[in-house]
Amino acid sequence: MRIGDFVRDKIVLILLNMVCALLLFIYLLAIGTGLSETLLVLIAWLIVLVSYLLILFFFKKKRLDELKKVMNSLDKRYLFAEVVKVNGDTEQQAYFQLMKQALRSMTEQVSTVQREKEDYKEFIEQWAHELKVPITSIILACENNLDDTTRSVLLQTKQIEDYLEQVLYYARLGNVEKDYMIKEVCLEEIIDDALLRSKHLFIQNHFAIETERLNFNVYTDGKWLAFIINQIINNSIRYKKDNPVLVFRGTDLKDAVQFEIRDNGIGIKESEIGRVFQKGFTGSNGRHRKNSTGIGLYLCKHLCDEMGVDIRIESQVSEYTTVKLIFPTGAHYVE
Amino acid sequence: MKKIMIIEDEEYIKKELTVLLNNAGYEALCIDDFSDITDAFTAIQPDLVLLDINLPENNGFSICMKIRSISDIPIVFITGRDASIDELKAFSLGGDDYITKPYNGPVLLARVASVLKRTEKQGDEIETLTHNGVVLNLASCMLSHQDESVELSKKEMKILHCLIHNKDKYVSRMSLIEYLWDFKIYTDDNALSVNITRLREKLKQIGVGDYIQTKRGMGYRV
Repeated sequence: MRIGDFVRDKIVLILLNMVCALLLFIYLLAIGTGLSETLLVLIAWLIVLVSYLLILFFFKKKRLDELKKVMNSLDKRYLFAEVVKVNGDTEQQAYFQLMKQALRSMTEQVSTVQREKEDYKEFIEQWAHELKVPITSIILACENNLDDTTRSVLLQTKQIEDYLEQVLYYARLGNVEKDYMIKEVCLEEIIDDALLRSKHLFIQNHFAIETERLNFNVYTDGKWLAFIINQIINNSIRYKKDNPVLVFRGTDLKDAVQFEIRDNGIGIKESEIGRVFQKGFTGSNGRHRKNSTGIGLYLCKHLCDEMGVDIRIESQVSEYTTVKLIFPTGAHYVE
Repeated sequence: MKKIMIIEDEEYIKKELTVLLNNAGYEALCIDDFSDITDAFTAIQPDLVLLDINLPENNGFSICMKIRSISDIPIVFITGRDASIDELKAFSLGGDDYITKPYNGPVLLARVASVLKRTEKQGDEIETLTHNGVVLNLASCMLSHQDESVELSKKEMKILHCLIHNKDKYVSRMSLIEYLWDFKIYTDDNALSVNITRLREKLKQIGVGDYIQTKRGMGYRV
C-alpha cells in the first residue's frame, strides 16, 4: 500500500475536514477572533488530522505486510483464511468471515476432487493388476498350443500387455519416486528378457537382431529399464520398413555407459524430433498409423529423468532412428 | 527329471504352467491347500519352487520363510505385485528370482533354467543324442556318423537338437526360429536358410547328405 493510494481512500474524510476547517475559519473571523489565534487553531487541527492519518496508514501498512508475508510462506494458499488471525473493526471482521467461508467451501471442493482423483487412480491400478492374471493365462495357453491362430492371438495379447503397462506407469506418475530401486544390473540380461518378451512380434515381422558388446553392468532400476527398452522396441516394430534390422550396442564412455538401440525404420522428421518426448505427441508417423498414443516416449523420458539416465534420440527420415541411453557409471556415483 | 513345485492359486495359470513345464522336460506338481505347505513340500521334495505371493489363507512371503527354515532349494517368485518393496522383500527372505505377471513362457523357462544352473552343483543333462546312426554331442558341439565327425556352430547344433528332439515329425521354419530365440539366438528367416544349408553340407561331409528332409509348407524332419 502506497501513501497516494491511502490518501485517495481517505479523500472524503480529508475533504470533510477541509470544509469544516474553512467554515470554522470564517466563523472565528466573523465573531472577531484575531487572525493569529484562528491560524493557531487551524494548525492544531491540521496536526491532529495528519498524525491520525499517518498512524492509521502505518498501522494498516504493517498489518497488510504481515498478511502478505503469511500468504507467501504458505504452501497451499487457499488455506490462508484458516491460518491468519482477525483483529479489526466490525466491518473488517465481517468481510473476513465472508472470505473465510468462501475459502472453506473451496478447500472442501479441492479435497473432494483430490480424494476422487486418488480413488480413481487406485481403481485404475487395481484394475490393471487384475488384468495381469487373465493376460498371463492367455499367453501361456497360446504358447502351449502354438499354431497360426494362437500366434496371432499372442501378437494381439502382447499389445494389450504393453498398453496395460503404460496405464500402470502413467497412473503411478505422481508417486513413481517411491517405487524404484537403483542397483547394479546387467544390461545384457535385461535386453535378453526384453527380446524374449517381444519374441513373437520380432519373428513374425521378420526382424534381424544384432547385439554388440552388451556385457555392461549399469546402475539403474531393472524393472524401469525393461519398460523403457520395451517401449523403444515397440516403436521400432511399429515404424519399420522392409527388411527390418534392430541393433543393440553398448559403448564404454569412460565415466558413463552408452547403450543404443538403432533401427532402419521410417525415421522421424527433423522438425518433429524435438517434440517426441512430449506427452501426447504422435507426429506425422503416428497420425499415418493408427493406435499411436504419444505416451510411450513421454513415460520413458520421465523415468529416465527420475533415475538420472540421459535419453537421446537421433533420426533421419527413411534411414534410421537411434535411441541412446547414457548411464553414469559406478565411479560417478561414488564421487 | 527336475521336479518343480507350483504354488499358485489361479486354476488356469496353474494348468498352463504345468503343461509348459512338462513340455520343457520338468516334472511339475501343484498343490491346492495353501494353509500348511510344509507337509506337501516334504512329500514332493522339489528341486525348485515357483511361488505366487497373493494366496488364499496365506501369503507367499510366509511360505517362503517356512520353506527356507527347512530347505535351501531355489525359490522363484511369480507374482502380479511389481512394487520394488515386494521384490526387495522377496530377495531378503531368500528368494532366488522374482518374475512379475504378465510373464511369458520363454522368459519363465529361461529364468528357471538359469536359477537351476546357478544353484546346481552337478548338472545331469543329457550329453549326447543319437538318431539314425548320427550322434550329436551337446557338450562339445561335435556331430559324428560312423568314423567321420564334424564340428557344428552353436546355432547349427541347436537346430539339429530341435529336429532330433521332434524326430519323425515335421518342424516348421517358424517353430525352429522360435526355438532358437529361446536360447538367445536371434535369427531370422534368411539366416535360418543359410544355417540349414551349412548344416546339410556338414552332414554331407560325414556321409549323411540326405539326413534332413524338407517338405514344402511343412518344414524339416530328421
